[in-house]
Amino acid sequence: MGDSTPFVELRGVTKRFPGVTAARDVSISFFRGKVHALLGENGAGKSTLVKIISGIYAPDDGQIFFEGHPVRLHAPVDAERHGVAVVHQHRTLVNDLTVAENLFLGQLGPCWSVFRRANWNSRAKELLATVELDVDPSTPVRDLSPAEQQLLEIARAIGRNARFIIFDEPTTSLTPPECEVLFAQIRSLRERGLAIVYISHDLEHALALSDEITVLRDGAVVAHEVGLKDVETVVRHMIGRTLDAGYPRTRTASNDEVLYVSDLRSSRLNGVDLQVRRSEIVCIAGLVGSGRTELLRAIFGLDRFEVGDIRLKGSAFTPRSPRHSIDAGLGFVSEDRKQQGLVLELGVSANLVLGNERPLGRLGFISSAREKSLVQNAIQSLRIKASSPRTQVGTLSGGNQQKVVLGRWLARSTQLLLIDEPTVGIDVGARAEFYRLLDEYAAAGGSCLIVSSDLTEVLGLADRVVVMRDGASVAEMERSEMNRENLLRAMTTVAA
Amino acid sequence: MSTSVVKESKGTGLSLRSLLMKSDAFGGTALAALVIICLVLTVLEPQFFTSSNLLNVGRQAAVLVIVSCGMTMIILSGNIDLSVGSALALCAVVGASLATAGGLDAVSTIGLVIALGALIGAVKGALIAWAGINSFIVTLGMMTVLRGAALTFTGGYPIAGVPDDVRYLGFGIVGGFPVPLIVASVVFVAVALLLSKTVLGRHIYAVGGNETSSHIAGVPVAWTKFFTFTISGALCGLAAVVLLGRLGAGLPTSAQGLELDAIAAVILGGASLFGGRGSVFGTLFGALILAVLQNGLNLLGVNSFIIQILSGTIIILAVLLDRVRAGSSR
Ligand SMILES: Nc1ncnc2c1ncn2[C@@H]1O[C@H](COP(=O)(O)OP(=O)(O)OP(=O)(O)O)[C@@H](O)[C@H]1O
Ligand SMILES: [Mg+2]
Repeated sequence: MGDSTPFVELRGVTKRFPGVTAARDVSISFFRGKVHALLGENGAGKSTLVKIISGIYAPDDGQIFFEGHPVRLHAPVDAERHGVAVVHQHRTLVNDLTVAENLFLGQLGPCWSVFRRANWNSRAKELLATVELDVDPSTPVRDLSPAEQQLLEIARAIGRNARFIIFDEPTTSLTPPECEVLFAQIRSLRERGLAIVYISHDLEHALALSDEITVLRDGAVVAHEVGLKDVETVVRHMIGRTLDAGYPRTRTASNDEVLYVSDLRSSRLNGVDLQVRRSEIVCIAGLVGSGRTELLRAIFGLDRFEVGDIRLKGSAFTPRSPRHSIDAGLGFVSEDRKQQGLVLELGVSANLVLGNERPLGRLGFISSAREKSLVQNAIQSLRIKASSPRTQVGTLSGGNQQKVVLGRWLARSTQLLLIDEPTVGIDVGARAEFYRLLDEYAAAGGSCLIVSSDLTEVLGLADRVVVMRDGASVAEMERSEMNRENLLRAMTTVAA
Repeated sequence: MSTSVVKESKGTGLSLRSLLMKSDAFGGTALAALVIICLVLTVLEPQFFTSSNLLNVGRQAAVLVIVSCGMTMIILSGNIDLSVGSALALCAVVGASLATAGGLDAVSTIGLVIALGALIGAVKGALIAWAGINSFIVTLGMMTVLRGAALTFTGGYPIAGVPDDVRYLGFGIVGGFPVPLIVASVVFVAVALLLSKTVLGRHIYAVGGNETSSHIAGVPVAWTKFFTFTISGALCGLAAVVLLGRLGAGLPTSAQGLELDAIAAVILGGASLFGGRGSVFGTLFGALILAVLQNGLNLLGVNSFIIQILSGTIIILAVLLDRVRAGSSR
């Protein structure tokens, strides 16, 4: 029966935006019981296809078939009715509501019906069991870890009788053990006969998990393969060339101390000690919730700390505000580029120079010539894909948005960059590019303190690693001692 | 040769398209609405499209345009100001008293009134920027405080007898042009330049679009809000001088409801009430729509109560139209 009819099929789908064609005559079939990976560079059009299938965008051309029947989707609810569910990269849960309320939001019946908490809670327990998520349905969602929230999103999809689940970059900010839990769930969904679409820039994971792959470039399908397990081939399809080994190392760390942190304590930090030297890249490894982000925020002056010393280049430094830290030579890239990095309504250009307009002009007026040349430089060196410098940043693909945030700091005269999850959502090509830029930055005398959940990245990038657990720095490793096992052990060992 | 023609037409096609794209931010809908309203009024009422009447509309619109330009900055920065009408009334009565009882010359009077406006704006701005109180609450309070201050200052009576030289900005005529119209145009150009060309303007959009991101990028968020309110306050002072000139007296009850007209003009112009999106061009068209409607319907002899109903309806319709248009580009 139906196994030869795809569950969802796109035929000749095209979608144009002003200045770009995000989908170009795309034909793909998605089958039940299969995990189908959609791969491609930043801006290749993956999310656009997802939005077309889930009824957010209407295609300009082409048709969508569900179980062999042509359908027109007018709104996301239409897609939902056909069993489509999307687990977005950014969480769509309501933080203040409980697990149970989030599970059934929008399905609670008409608004005059009485909400019977006990009833829903017991239904919630059943659903949570299907994804092996062991939490109390009445806990607020904000108390869940990112991985648990991810599983909750899956449970919600199952609760809505989803038969086709799309995962758009689900592993960003998940640590390896958490990823494994997620993968196990995806595999079991496949066993149950759901059709799965999996989008990720982590090609190894994607290939390990998927049964077939489709590679997109500039909105068009450039390859479709079944059972491929070779990363290099995929990369060639994606960017049209092979990449040389990813982590250049032209810098030589000096002994000059740039940042010195001693016994830093706050409500979320329980004693952090670390140093960063000139031309050095130090990574912070740790599980989600181990206080890594809080540490960067405290150093940058976004959060207060109660106890502890920070020294910058030997002199005491008490961060007061971002402005103050920036003047002292710091820069900060948050993990949440939409909320804490970009101004989505503004253009690429305005975002690239944000906070740094003063040197571009005189008497408060911005010189557009100087702005243009600075921006052109950044766009070229980072290969930001935007139809024009004035394009709204909110319409760029995720990876290109990230490049804009990074570009802003690279264009400023900073000595120490604090970067939280630098390559979230960045494609392989851009990632290599970015590692090269960081190395260049360090070779020119800059230093980096980088939080990353991607151990491969940590191992490749770091000159030294500081491991954090429960808000404290618990281990430090030089390059010679660094390996996956050591790191994982230090990250997860229960404090004695 | 033919290639150059092709290129040219392609060039204009592209620029036309990008112009249409941008027209949203520049109040394209508002401009279209303004043109349509003017056409209809011209057909219905021959009196409408005469130079004397149009200059009259301009004279009447001047105060609203000046105040709305300031309001645009405030709304773009993600704030709101409900107290502009009251601030204007207080400035006007203080100005009237300085010029009459105080016996000050015109230049000092005008300078002091504008300074008073800026001071009032600075107080609001400081409360919002550093004390961290929501602008809705600060200015809601200020609305009654300032109105009360204006009434107390005059004991509730108007202050008449403002000398002609003080009235010049609201009353004078240069080469057939009403001076208030010139003042409003200068303010409009200045605010347009400020928003598009200066660091402060960039920061206003950025803070309104995403305060957290701006803060992290090193934008002086608090100062941006402070300056926004201070400048808008100074414009209120200037508008008070114009109003004083037009009326020839300082009325503590003047400019009631002006804040709502100004907000309406900004929203009609396509700005987002949540900040970060909009332009002062849109606001200009929005303010002119309100002024033209008022004038045209007056000429047609429509009852002033009905005019209120129509004005309100038009505001909702215009915003609805914008929504529908935005939705259709899905
Ligand atoms: N609403 C929009 N308006 C204008 N352009 C858009 C819009 N949405 C997407 N685009 C453009 O379409 C192209 C494809 O974007 P899309 O988000 O699908 O890429 P992606 O493959 O998901 O990339 P990433 O891996 O970075 O998330 C990009 O060039 C993007 O700028
Ligand atoms: Mg995407």
